[in-house]
Amino acid sequence: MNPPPPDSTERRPRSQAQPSRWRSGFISAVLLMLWLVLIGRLIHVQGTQHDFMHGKVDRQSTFTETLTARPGAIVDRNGHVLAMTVTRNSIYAVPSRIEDPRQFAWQAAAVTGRSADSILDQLRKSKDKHFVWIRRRVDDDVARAFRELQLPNNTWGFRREYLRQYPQGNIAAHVLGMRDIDNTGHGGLEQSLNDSIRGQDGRRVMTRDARGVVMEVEASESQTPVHGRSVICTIDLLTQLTIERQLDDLMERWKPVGACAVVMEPHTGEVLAMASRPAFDPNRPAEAPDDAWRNLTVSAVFEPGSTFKPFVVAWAMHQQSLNQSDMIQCFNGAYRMGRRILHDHHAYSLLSVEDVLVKSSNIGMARIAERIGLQQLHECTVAFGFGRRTGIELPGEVRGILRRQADWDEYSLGSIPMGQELAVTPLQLISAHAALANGGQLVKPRLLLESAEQLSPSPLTDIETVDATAPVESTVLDRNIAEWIVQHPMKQVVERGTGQAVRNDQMSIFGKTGTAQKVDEDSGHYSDSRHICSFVCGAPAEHPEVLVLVMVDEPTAGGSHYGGTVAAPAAADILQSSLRRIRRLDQSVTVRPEEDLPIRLR
Amino acid sequence: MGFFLVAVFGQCVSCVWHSRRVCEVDCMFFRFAAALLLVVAVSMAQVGLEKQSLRLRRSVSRQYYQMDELLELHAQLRLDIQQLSAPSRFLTQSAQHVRPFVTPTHPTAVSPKEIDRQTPARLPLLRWERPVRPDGVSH
Repeated sequence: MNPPPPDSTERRPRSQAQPSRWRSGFISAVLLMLWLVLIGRLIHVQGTQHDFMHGKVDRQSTFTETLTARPGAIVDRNGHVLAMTVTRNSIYAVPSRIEDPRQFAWQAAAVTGRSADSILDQLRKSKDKHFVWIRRRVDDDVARAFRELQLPNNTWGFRREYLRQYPQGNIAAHVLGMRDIDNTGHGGLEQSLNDSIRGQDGRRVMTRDARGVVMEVEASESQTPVHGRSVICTIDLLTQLTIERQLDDLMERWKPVGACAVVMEPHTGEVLAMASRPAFDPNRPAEAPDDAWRNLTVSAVFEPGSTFKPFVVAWAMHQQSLNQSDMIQCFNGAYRMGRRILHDHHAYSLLSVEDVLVKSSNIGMARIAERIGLQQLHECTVAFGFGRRTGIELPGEVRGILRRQADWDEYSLGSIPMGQELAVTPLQLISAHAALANGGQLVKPRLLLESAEQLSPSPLTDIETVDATAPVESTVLDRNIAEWIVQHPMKQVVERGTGQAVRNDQMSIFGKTGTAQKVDEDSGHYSDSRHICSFVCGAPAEHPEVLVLVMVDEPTAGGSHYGGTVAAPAAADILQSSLRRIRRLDQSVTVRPEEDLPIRLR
Repeated sequence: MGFFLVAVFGQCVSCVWHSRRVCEVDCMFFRFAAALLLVVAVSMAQVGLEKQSLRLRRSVSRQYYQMDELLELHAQLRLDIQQLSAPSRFLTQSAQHVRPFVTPTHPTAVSPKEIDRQTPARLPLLRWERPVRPDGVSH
């Protein structure tokens, strides 16, 4: 019996079967390792690098665009627009896609007004960039002409940007201020109310594909801009125009270093007009001279001179140290106070209290000050608001200069009553005179209307109300004393005193002139050639409706430097114009900005 | 679609009356086909709704865009009115020295097509900027 044939596998040499198992094992191990590596990498990417990768994807696929809020408008009390915002096209170029920069620059320069060299230089410096501005906020005509150039596609474009416009030109420039290209207010209401007027920018988050094409707007992450609120101010455009023209004439005639004027409603403190010279056009800020930005009404300080005298008389009467019928000995024009000898312009012997103010007697005022003493004199200046800011809604207001009572000496008893040794701003001065004109109430001057609609809505924004500020700051005087000061001495100043230039038979005007010497910085003494003259007046004396202050800094032409000569005529014209105007004004706002809107958008 | 579902249901019912073996194969086939078609039908309906939603969103975006344009036109016209009726301008005119502060532009009524033509090409959804709470729209 033959043995069974051996199995072919069993007969295969061991060396031939062994490599096959090793090979399959090796391949399996490699595959396993690959899988382990992949799994490890997956865990690494998804786990430990999750935030990093997620951020990277976000950066590549999403981008955020800022939606600029439209600034609110500023309108006067009758709805005339003083400042508002429109959109303009801004032209940009994509240098990385421009094949012939020279041709591009040459064509763009012909339309935009820029020089071809500057555009070419800009394009060459930024040849790898995807965005450079060619010209911003151009007129529609320029934009249309640029579009018609038929420049290569994808090498240029427009972006809409807001442009602040002041349709009244340089009218009320110092009250308004200006808003720069970054939508930031500078000076005036534009700065002080920047938060309200500016609004809140929004944002738009968009998702794009690998080619940069936007696929979707992420509404949940986007934010709608909140447009700025419009402001209704107390300015009356026609009154403002009057004082602007009067100041221009005054600057032309007297050639002063500067001048300013304020028109105020004495009972409420509403500023109807406010102007300062030199001025600027907020539509052309680059052309403004350096000294034009300063609003003299709140930032200039000067010694008030004789315009301060009524306060001392009123305070002495309020303290019952002086009566209306008292007679003041003025010692024929020379009076010694300690080491100092006071002089009057004219020699007076015995003057009534009324005549002390009408004649503007320095000696008479010093005698009255002696009755109340330094402490009451200091309390008088503080009570009428000197030495502190009035709180008007304007930036850059200064406190003035009022030293502590401890720093006053025997000279002060003669100097303070004649308006020296202290410095005030024009706004402080007219606010203090408003206290005399309104029956003894010190009111806070303001530029925003006191009403629930102080800040009115701009198009499509909610109506928001603000708390009305109480206009009365404090009660300074008895009503009878204030009325007597206005209706007698100050009225007589115009009738037969230093303010006769403003006398008018058709209305009873009261006022007070002031002429102060400026300090010579070289010698440290009062200058004989440099003066600040001012005139404050109001009408009608029986029930003052309007108050006007004109201050002229250092008139250099015309041959006079007195308040009654330089400032009074301009003040009189302003007063008459303002009085006619204010009687036509309703106390409430007559026009609301939103009324211009179509009904469905209100 | 309804007819097809009814047919499938009828076919399944008929299976009960036929032999069990044949019925199992047919029913399995029809159940699979019916499920597949149901999924397709739901997907198509979803696509339709999505397209409608997109169309509505584009329409809303276009309306907001047009409203923005109208508001801008209103602002521009208002500015022109204020510039042309400025009291100082009248005074200057009376002095025979006319010089407007800012050269007024003269926007004219522009049709939406003209606006689209003049405006650089943009995706429709980019113009979705929503003013705050216009009448009849809440968000």
